[in-house]
Amino acid sequence: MPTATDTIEALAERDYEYGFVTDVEQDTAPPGLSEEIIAFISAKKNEPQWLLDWRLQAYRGWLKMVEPRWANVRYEPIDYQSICYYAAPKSDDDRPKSLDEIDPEILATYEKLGIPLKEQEMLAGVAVDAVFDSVSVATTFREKLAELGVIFCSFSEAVQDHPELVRKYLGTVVPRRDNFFAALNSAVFSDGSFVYIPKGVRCPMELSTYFRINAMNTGQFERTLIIAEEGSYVSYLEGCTAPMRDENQLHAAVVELVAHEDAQIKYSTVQNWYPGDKEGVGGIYNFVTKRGLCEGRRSKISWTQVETGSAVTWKYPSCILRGDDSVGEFYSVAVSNNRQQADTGTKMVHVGKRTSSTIISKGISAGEGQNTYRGQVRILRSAEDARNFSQCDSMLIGDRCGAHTFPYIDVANPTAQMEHEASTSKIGEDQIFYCNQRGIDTEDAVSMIVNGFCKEVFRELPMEFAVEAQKLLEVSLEGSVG
Amino acid sequence: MTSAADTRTGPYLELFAGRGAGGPVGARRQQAIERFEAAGFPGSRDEEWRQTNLGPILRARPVAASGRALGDGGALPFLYPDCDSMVFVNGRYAPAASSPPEGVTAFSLADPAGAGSELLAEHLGASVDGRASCSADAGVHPFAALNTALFEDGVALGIPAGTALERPIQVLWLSAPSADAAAGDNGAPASMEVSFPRLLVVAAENSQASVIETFAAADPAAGGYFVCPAAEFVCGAGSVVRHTRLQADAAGAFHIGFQHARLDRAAAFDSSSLAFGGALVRNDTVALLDGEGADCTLDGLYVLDGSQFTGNHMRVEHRQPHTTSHQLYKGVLDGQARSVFNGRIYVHQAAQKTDAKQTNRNLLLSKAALANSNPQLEIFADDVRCTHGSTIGRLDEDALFYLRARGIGFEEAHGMLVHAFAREVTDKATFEPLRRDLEARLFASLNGGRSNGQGG
Repeated sequence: MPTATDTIEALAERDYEYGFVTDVEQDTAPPGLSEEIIAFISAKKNEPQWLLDWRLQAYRGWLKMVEPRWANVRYEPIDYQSICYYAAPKSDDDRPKSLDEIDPEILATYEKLGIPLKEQEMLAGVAVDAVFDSVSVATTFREKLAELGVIFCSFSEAVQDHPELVRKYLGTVVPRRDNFFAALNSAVFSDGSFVYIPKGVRCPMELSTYFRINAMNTGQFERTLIIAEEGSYVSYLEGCTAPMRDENQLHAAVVELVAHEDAQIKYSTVQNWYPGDKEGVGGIYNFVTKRGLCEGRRSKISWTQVETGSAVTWKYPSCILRGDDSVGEFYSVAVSNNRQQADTGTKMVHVGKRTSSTIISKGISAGEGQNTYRGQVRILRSAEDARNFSQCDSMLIGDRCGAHTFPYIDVANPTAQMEHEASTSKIGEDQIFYCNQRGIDTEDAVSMIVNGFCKEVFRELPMEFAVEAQKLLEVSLEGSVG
Repeated sequence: MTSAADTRTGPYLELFAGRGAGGPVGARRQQAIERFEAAGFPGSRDEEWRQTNLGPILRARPVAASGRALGDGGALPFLYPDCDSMVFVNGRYAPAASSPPEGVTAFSLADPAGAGSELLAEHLGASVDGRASCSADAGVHPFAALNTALFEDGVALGIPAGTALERPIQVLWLSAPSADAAAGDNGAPASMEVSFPRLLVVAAENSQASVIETFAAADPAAGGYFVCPAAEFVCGAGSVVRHTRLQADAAGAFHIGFQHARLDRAAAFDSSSLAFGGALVRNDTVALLDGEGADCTLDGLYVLDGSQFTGNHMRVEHRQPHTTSHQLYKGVLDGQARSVFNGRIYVHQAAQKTDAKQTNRNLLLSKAALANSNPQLEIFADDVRCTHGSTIGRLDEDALFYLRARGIGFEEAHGMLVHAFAREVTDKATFEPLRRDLEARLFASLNGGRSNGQGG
């Protein structure tokens, strides 16, 4: 049986599998951030005046803000003036009408990622809104969705085609001055996805976006807005990989969800961005603000995330349970390997009566990875008979990693019932021995145990994602035998 | 910011002017006041303090409590039988009321005879030098620093190696503020008497001792005084130290305490903190498990009503392999009471085979009560067992129904269940007079001010 030292070394020596750079001509803004750059982005995207004003107000608010330091992560200071805030493939002006017109290099990138777009169109009902850097280059299944009245398009298209919806909902869940990174995003967001599900419609397919960070020195500032009208249902998938590079890249996205009465939104993420090399050089900074508002009665928002990538992950998908009987869920698997750091968790704010929330968080640390769960459950005085169940389990693989749990529980209503449990463990020698004894080699045994550890989260993922997530986890922890 | 800080820290810095310097303790005092001056009082942006509203304390002008003599038998109601005792009134030793233990080193810190003691030179203020812990990331604990800088008197206890004390030692910290504390705005006093009780317990190898600290007011109706105690426990290899901290201050009192324990190989430290009184109470505990096989138990109970606030902040550091720690904190909150539980278990990389458990359970009896619970784990070793659990809620409806189905009235059934909930902590007291006292206090506080229990 390999010793712990062997396995840590094996783990540390694993290179990023999806590291490559695609050479596509860029139409890039000069690095730096100013009101001119924001005006340039806005003009480039042909935005209405109100949106430019909105951006500028966010920017002015951001200037007064101080970068937060409270997270349990360490990283080099970010020079916000050296980032390019806009990069679009040149083909933007004459948008391709079909896949044939798309730059073969872009298509090749997708091939390497294992998502052949051509096949994807035909495949199991997944509509892909592929975001290549900041501008959507291909959207499929639009017509089929349009028949039902579902709007699924890039954010910039939504600004052009559905300004009334964008204006009504933009910034209602994550205000433009919510926090440092959200304000930055509000000022410079380039593109993202927009989803609108009309009343009573059950979206017939999983909506999916593949993000791809590609241009050197380009921060990605995605903005996603999903609105589910009364009685509707939507399942949204977000997944990503990024090419290898040496400079840290900042990714500060904002995701806003609004669920009206009886509506359900299921938001799943598989995140596999470049985590940096084994010395911790390079890698993505993933500072994301994700928040859902259960506006109507009996609405439900469910976050599922599998976080295996990024050098630094700092995000807390949250639910504000305003409607009576609304439900919030958070399922998370976060893996930090080598020198990765993750400070992630959720925030459940119970406002309405009989609201309930569930938090299942699984953190896996290996190598010198640091994994932090930080979550808040807040039950306000108005939340009669609110219910929360939280479970945060950590698994440590190797003796140089760390697992941290910081739950904050604030209850102001005696009828609330809340439970929090957490445990930390490693893969037991007896468990490995048990498997070995039955002819399962150590590697497979670890994979099996880790999969079992994460099962509660994986089963919340849509099928396609569950497979990918399991594969990712296996790759991430290859050779790590406890 | 700075000017506001100056007006707040200034009066405390003035108090330092009269304190003795010289000797190792003097140097530590000097260091502590410098650290305090540099750090100032924590604000609402400070993670460890943001849930504690220090406003009422900082608005009042501190006046050094005068060492007042107590009438004959004034301390008697608070003293337990079959127990050695050292009594302090307003932070000053009252030898007439005390019966110090024999066979151990026990002296008042103000006693000039003890000033040259090695015990003090080696230990006093050595761990509570103003830092909340030896870890680099732990900042200055301003109130611990204040105590080190400003204490006038206190107890030094040295238990010789191999000695097992049969009788517990009770240290009574009695507050008897003068009645002329001027009232200021919003009912908060414009000035208040402040005392800095200091306790040092050094248990040598294989010794055993039990220390009971009682914080009480001579007049339960007294208000507007501030107790800022600090205690250090140095637990030698194989020693067993039991500690009970009974906080029964007057209803209007402010109490911000700090305790520090360092455990050597196979030492056991068992501390119970029971909070009944005070308007604003905070108790910070740091335990360093610094030897293999060390075992630490921290239990607590807070029973609150009215607008009381109690905060318990714990940091247990596992620094060596095979160490164990257990925490059980329970709270019963009525009225508009508010509680904060902030427990952190920190497992260093060397501390393999750590077994740590942390539990916080809160019972909310009224709609306006608020409980905050932040159980935290920081783990840097892989072969460990660490769990924490936290619950906040009301009484179990099924249990209540079960009792009522057997003919027990609502009030009585309710009372039984709340008692049963709280007694898990008080029952751990092995010293009979103490346990009876705790039960009586629990009973009194649960039945004293029940205002709006859950209607039937």
